[in-house]
Amino acid sequence: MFFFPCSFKSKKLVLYLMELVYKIEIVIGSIVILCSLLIAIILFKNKQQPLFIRSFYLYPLLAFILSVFTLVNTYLHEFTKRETVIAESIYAILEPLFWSYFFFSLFNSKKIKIIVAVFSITVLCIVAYLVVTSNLKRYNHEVLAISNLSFCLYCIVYYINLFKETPTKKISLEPLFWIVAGIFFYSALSLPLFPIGVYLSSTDLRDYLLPIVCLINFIVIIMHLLFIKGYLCLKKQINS
Amino acid sequence: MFEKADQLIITFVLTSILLILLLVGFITIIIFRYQQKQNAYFKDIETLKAAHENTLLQSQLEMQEQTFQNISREIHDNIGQKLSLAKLHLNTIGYAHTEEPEIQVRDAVNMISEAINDLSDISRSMSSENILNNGLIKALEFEVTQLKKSGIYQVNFSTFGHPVFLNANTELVLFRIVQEAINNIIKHAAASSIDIDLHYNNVLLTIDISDNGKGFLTGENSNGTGLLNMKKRAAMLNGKIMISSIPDTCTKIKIEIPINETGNNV
Repeated sequence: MFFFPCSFKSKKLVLYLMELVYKIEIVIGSIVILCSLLIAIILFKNKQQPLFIRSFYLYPLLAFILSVFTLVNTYLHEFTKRETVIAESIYAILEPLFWSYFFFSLFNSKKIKIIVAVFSITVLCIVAYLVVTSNLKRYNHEVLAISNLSFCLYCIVYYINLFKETPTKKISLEPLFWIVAGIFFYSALSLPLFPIGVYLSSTDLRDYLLPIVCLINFIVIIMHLLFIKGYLCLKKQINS
Repeated sequence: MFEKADQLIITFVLTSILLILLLVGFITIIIFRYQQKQNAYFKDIETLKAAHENTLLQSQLEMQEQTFQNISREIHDNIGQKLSLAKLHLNTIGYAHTEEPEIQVRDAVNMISEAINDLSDISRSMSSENILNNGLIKALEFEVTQLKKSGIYQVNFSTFGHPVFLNANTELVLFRIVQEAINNIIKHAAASSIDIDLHYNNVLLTIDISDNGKGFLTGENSNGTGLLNMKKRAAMLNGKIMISSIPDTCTKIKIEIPINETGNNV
């Protein structure tokens, strides 16, 4: 099985190992998201921060709920053999909502704000339409691909802006830089992964989805680690 | 079929790993480039700062030179003359007459007293102690009193808003600017009336100095040493000076200095 040209027995072993990696990733991912959530809760109390940063702390909570749901669902699936994507679908709508608000508030330029607002509303409408039309029965990869494309664009605008501004920030200690780096890392890497996922799930190669899912989970973990780095920089900023 | 798919997946996974490395590289390059830009920016700032300090030093030297010239002129034109006259009186006392020496000695004593007072006034005017101890308003009141004493000028001094004590150095620089403006009026304006107004608000201190003298064409003399010094001093406080003048009618100087709620120059 899977991507190594090997015998049937070895393929079974590879499949087993991939599933093991997947489960380990889910557990590690949940722990990382939990850590991110705990730091976010600590930082949330500080009212000196701008509202968009404070509301960003709700994102780890959302991710944590989804992570627990996926974790439960993974084990539940082994018994019930039924797939449900309700949580993923809700997440698919809430995620662009969160990040669009984050990027909208992040930019100071009125012109960029208007572009982000118009673009975000369009993306949200498309995402909502796709989620509703899929009847919550199928994990909608197109939705995530569209959302990620918009996040990638926002991140690129952020980086362009970063170089346009007077370089007074200490970039390695800049919380927003790490948060945006996390978003960019996740959205840029998962952008090609989702169309492949769509392709594989629509053919008789569904079993090949597992390495892709493992890669996506890995990216999610890295993203949350970058968020944690951002939160810690923010904590340092607040304390100093 | 499966072998082809296997190859596809291998390629895909390898591409993904490559993409991950590329992104890590991208973020590293951004950090590196930003720091490079930051270093260049700070280097520019340092260069500008050094140039600014150089200009400040130069203007300080110019100011000092001018102060020495003022002292020298005051001593030569005023005190020197009075003392010479007193000496002349004392030298020409006619001891043969009984009343004349008494008058001449009294005159000489009066002249020496005047010279002492003048010296004291010059000393107070030049010294920063007065302003550091009593503040800008008191120091300006003293200057106004001196001007009134001359009997040549009708001087009006008013403050508006809620006066705040500024940083001592800021007040000193402001005082020197006003002093320079008054000196210019005395030297060039041939005015009979001088108005000095101080306007305090939460973010700005505005000083208006106006006279009814002969004025000048602002394009012509706006870069004279005196005005240049005033501008440099105002720039030291992040402030600005606006000069408007109508020939044969009046001259108005408006000085604006940004201040914060605690009265510090920003």
